[in-house]
Amino acid sequence: MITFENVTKVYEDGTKALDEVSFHIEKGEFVFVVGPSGSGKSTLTRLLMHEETPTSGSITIDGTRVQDLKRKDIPYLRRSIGVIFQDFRLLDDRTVYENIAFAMQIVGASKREIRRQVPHLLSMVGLSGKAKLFPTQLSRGEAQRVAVARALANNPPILLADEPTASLPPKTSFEIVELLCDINARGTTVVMATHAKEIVDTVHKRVIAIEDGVLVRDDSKGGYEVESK
Amino acid sequence: MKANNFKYYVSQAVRSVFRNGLMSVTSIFTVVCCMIILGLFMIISINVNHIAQQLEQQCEIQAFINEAYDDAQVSALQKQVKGIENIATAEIFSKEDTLEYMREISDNNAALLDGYEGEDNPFRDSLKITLKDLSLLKPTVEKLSAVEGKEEVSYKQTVMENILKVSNGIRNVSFWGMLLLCIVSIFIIANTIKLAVYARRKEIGVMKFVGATDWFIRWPFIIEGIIIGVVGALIAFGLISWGYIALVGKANIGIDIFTFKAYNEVAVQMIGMFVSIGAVIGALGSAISIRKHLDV
Repeated sequence: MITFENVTKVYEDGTKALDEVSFHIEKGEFVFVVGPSGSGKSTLTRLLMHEETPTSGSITIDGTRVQDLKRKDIPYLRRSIGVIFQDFRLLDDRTVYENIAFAMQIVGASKREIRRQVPHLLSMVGLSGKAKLFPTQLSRGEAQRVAVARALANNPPILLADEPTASLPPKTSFEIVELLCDINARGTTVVMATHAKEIVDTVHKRVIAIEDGVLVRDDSKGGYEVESK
Repeated sequence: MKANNFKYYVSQAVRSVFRNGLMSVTSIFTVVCCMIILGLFMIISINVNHIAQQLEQQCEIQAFINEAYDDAQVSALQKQVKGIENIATAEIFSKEDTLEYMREISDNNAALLDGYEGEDNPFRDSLKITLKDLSLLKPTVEKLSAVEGKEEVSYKQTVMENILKVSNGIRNVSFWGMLLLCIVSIFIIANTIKLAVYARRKEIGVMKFVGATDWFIRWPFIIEGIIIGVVGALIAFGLISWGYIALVGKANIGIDIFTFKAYNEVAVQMIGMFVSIGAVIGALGSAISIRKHLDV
């Protein structure tokens, strides 16, 4: 589904964010990308979204070499990847319903499709009764659930979560990760960049660890740190 | 462009115009000011053309006819002159007509012309000629001079050329004035759209990562610019119409040589131009701003 082959990213100021990183993620996998702040996790997510292009190496998503895409094709790549962020990025002047519908409007969904899909998504993330509320009227956990619903609005095969629990209290963080596990169980590939040790250690999924831009570990069922034997 | 999307673009554009209320009002006000000045140039230009046309019709060329010519030859000459390109009319003005005309303009001294009738008439038969396009005066006179049977061509060269100079001058000033004001308006709208882009940067970010195409993001801003341009143009048109009706109604009384163009005719010429110019400067302003400030 996702393949990084010797991917190196050097920014214009000379900072090397990723250095010869290679991995492959199968369809339906749940993968944590871990590492301290500044290790290169965000660069990795930005490369996946084609917000940045690799300096060398190649990135393939669902058979398409990302760096070969023409500018006009980038939006279509992004439609195949749902994204959630630490800061939710909801539009405060629109209701919960409108925030999710907005993502569907953008890809040209009909009103009928929107009316059918949004309540379904709200029910999936446990917010059925909150459709008419504005983001400022929600708790942070609820806001992140709305962001998850929006990310799934167009049924993307991949869900990319960039530090989705960083601004949430521990209990809520676990609820969000549980939700992501549910979504993964339905067949969506989930890639979650995080430095939440407790979550990674508890959920026990595949872990790709990056330090100073270098892939230092790829465990199929690992913890946040290498377990001492 | 899908109908669904078009509705979305327009609703977003209208929403943005209201959301940036003060800035939108400021830009509409600026467009109104520019369009009023532009409208004044247009009105002056339309009326100068109109007046020039009226004066052109009054400016005559007189071609004197060979005295030996009989009536049949004179008619043939008239026909030949009428056939020359750019000649609007060519009327025979006999020496008797000339004598009568001289009497009319001589008022109390008309009696001095008594005794010059018939054989003693010192005047000559001539053709009074008007042109279709005064700017082609010289080449037409040259062609006229080459016609056999006329002895001399006389025209009020200085008057005619001055009319031409003034009307061309005003046309040029109007054109450059309009161009300059359009450019000013474009940059003011560009600035408003820049603020609109800034106000909606979070939304644009969301649109990008959800997979909106570049044009899906651009269209609402283009339409917003067009709305500002067209609304400004329509308000300016309303104000100019009001002023024109009031002023021209008074100015047309008491002028015999020429009249200003009627409001209805001016309005028909201006409304289309105003809306088109408003829409184009709005769209251009948006396009410049999007290119500079919207990274899509």
